[in-house]
Amino acid sequence: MTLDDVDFIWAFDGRDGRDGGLEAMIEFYLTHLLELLPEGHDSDDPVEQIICDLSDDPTNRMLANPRLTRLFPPALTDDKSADEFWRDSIHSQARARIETARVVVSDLEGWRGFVPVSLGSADAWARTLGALRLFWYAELAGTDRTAEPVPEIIEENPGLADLVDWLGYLLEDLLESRSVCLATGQCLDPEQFTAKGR
Amino acid sequence: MEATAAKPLPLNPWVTIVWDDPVNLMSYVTYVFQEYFHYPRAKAEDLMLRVHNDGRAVVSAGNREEMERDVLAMQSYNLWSTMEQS
Repeated sequence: MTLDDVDFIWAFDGRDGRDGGLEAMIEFYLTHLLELLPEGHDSDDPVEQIICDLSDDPTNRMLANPRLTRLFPPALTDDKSADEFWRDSIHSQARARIETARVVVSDLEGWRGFVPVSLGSADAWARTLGALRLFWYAELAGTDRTAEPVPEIIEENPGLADLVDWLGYLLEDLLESRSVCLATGQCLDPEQFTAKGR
Repeated sequence: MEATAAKPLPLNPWVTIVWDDPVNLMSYVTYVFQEYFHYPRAKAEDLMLRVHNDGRAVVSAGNREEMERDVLAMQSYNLWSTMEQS
């Protein structure tokens, strides 16, 4: 049996407030991403949006924010080319990340307890969980690519290290479950989940 | 003046490189290579191991525009990715 995009392949355990916790983390992440968009970014007029984009260079705002810096590594070794690449791509990258994260928020807001994740949403979940992990890892280790967590920071804030581990566990569990469902052609029974308002 | 034959450009003058980092999980990196490039699992795992063991791996090659697209895609998956001329 081939699975469809609407078939559920994993469930996030949102019980005991974990759904609200994850949503709050995503909202925090979204707040930072929105800082990279120009004023007027939410205009319905696509021409105005292009003009806003062209008149704004978000590179310095990104570089001033360690959490975001880790999400936007320099694409080229030459500084001038890397700057140009950032200037031309940060807006669209930020918008894509926002759209992806909102898929997860929408899922979290739609269900009570266990939150089912469809095959079609799995990629958005994987990207967002990975991004959140990196976002908070930068707090533990800084923005350097190979940086390892600083023991003193872990000691001061052990919850932060646990958070990064938890996000890693969720990501592994999602990928494992997706892989099993695709290999067996079986999905999760939708009847076991409770939509909000039901 | 003696005419010189123009040197042909290499077929794929640019490459996309994914670099190792201590954050991204091996299973996740394999997933990304399968999902985005549609590489078979064995190739995706081989590339992931090259990233892990050698610190970097060339994951695609093509013209500059194509590599810009691939770098952006890898970065959208939170991988540390760069492009350079081969």
